[in-house]
Amino acid sequence: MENNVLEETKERKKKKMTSLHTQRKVFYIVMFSIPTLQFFIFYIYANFNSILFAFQKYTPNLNDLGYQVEFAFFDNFETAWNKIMSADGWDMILNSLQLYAWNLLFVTPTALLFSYYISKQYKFSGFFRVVLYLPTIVSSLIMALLYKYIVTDVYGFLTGDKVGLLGGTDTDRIYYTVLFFNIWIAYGSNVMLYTGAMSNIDTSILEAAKLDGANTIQEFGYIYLPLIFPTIITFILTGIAGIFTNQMAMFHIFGSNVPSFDVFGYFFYRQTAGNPTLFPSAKKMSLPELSALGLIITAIIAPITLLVRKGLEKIGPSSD
Amino acid sequence: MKKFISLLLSLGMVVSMAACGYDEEPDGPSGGNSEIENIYNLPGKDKTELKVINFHGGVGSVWIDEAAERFAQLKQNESYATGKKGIYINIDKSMTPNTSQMANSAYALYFDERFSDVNALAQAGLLLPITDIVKDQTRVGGVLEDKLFEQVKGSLKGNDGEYYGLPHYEFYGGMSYNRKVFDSAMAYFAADEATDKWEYPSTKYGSAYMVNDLNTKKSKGPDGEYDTEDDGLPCSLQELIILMDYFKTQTAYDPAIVSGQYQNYINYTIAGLWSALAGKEQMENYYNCTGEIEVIDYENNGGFSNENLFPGIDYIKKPYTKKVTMTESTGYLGNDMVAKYYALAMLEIFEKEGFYSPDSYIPTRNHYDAHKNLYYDGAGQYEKAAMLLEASYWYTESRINGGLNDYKIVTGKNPDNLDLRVMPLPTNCYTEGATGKEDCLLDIAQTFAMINGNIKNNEELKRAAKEFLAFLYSEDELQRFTVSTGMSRAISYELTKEQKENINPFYLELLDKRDNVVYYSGSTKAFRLAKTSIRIELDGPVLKPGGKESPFGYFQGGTKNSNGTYATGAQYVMGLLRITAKEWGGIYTA
Repeated sequence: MENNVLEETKERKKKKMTSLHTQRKVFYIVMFSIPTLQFFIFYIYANFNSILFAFQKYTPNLNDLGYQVEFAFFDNFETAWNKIMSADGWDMILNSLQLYAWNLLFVTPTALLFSYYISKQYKFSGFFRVVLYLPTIVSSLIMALLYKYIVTDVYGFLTGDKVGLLGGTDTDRIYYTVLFFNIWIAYGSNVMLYTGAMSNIDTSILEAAKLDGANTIQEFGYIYLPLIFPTIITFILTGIAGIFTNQMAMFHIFGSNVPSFDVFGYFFYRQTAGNPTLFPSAKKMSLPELSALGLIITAIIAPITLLVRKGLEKIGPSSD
Repeated sequence: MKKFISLLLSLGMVVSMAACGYDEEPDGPSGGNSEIENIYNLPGKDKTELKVINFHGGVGSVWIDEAAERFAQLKQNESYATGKKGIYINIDKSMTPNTSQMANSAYALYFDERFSDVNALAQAGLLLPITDIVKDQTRVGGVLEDKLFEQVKGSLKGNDGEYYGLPHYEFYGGMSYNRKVFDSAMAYFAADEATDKWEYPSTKYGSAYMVNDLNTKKSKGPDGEYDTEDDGLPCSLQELIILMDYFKTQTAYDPAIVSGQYQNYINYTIAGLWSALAGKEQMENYYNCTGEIEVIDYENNGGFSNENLFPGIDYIKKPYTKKVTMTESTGYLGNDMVAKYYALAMLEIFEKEGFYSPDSYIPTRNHYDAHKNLYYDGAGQYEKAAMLLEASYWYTESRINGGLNDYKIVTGKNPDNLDLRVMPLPTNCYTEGATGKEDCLLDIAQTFAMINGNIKNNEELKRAAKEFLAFLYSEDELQRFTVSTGMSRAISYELTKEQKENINPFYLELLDKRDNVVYYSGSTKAFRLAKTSIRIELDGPVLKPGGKESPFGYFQGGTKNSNGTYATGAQYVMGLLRITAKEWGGIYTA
């Protein structure tokens, strides 16, 4: 009798365990299925054609409609690699890196300071919050046009230099005028997210720091920075991931009239927007070649992004 | 504060939206105002709706609005589907009819500019064959196929031999000039035998005899014949430089203007000069990749001597040249044409010798502004310029955008009294030994009408689209199109005397030169395989060095290399644009 009860209890426990195990399994499957589905839809499916294109060569049928599609081996990658390694390619890389460096070394620190100022609710902090975020509310196209007219017509009116800062032959001046716009426009989103992160800091921690005698600089360095560091990492990483897709608002400013400098994001946009062809041509990249270029850039930037993330997580300030 | 800012933003949005408007002022030689009030072409639940997308630049949309009204009237009792009667042509006017998205588009009919390639779209299965329209034996006035210019047919077909497109309008690259300004400045070269002439020494480019007054006998001009339209205009590049210098130093006019916002419009002038200098035969050979052309001999000391091409200019060197007979396997040589180098060299000279108006460097000045530099005569904010770098469509675009009406308002003068003309371009490099040559007009519009292939199973839309297209290409409508826009289609049709009187003189001259047009078309295998590589138009790869939109930057300070030096000049650009034998091998195989 006793044995039977024991057996039953054991059986019940086993059943319960199995049921729990199954539930856990279902939970994991559900949890995994969502990102997996996302991965398949937004990466594999979305990029399927790109990956396929990168290994294809199209030749039009000469006596019928359609194309002959051949396996191109790495021919498209060779063309794409040559583009990256050309003088133009290096220029584009350097320009993109320069923009990122400005964002990282200038925009991020100053945006952090502004955000700190705002979150401490010092004088005019509300005004600063609105004003700094203003460029982000307005359509980027309108902002770019506004800027274009300010640095051309308004500048011309004020200084007598009709050509303005975007015209003329001074390549460096045009480049820095565009760079300035990008830096200016980047402030809004930086400040908004940093102030958001700062407002989530538990006030008891700040009060404790105050009681311990922390001054403003110490509070910023030892409390605020470590606690919002995940947000900073996010900005740094999205910046790196987007280095070669950031078009520096150049299409908004110049349209298709490329100035004497270029960046990959703008280059990609022009190439794909201008009715690219399936089959190769001498001076214009075809869709398969552009796809290969995109994959090469992903192959370069993805491991860098992951490495930087790992590094930052290791060396960054601890919130403990 | 927040309220104020949000009010400011709202206002900004409203203003920015208003700025996107585009008012057309159609009809009349210089524009009047005949807004179309539709009576028949109106939406209705029981009507068949045909969606059409029309490229709104170039010739605008008045022509199609008017034609749609006539068609809707004609078909008011026609049924295209059970339970429906009549048709509504719903026209979308867009600057970017994106044919690459055709497969998923609701537009049944496309009128697009150079962005589309009928052959490539047909190959991809995106277009509906229209051979039945082209070969329709019942068409009033004759079979359309017989009327299509022979040269253009290649660009209208798929490789299965069926027709998939019809030619829309054509325009040519080059320059335009203000004839009244030329008259007032007496900016004409004198005939050799003229007695009443004076020697203009120029700043440093050599001398030339100019007319003393408008009764002085003018030189023969580019065509080498007296008593023609181009008399007194520069027959050579050398004379063109002197003319530019003449305007710069002897008159209150800047020699030339190009849009500051669209400096890549210099590509139009490069294309125009290239074809004018090379002539019709060489340009046709270029597209067919066969026949004789004159090229830079790159095997001879790298292609260039140390001798200056023109007096007073030390940065343009004389090329070594040779005549070659291209085969399809060596079609890449077309891009070594010496005429192309001369054209690039001229544009570099315009820049470096300061021949452009200062307004050409203001990045907010668009092409409509540049037009005003040419005909406002200094009114408003515009510096006055004698010549405009643009393609021949500009006059219509300026008219439909209200430029000529603005002229009336700003200056109080009648725009019909303006005398603006397309400039016959020099056909020789040097004045000495110059021979007259007929003007070669290169069609760089490359615009087409096409039916979307995605309606192939929709009998209602298929029939409506085909009937409307056939209607637009009937004899009457072809004539009306040209009267409305001033521009022609690559189809043989005549205009009556009365119709010609309604066309602005700006375009009349061009209509008489239609035999000299070279179209983006070819019959060879090399053309079919390499057409994208050799296409000459605003965005053609043969005019876009280093991925830039035009060589403009290379003629200024140059483009900065990664080593900090600057790449600059026509010679450098020519090298960048060369197609190598290896590149050609990747495109064309015999």
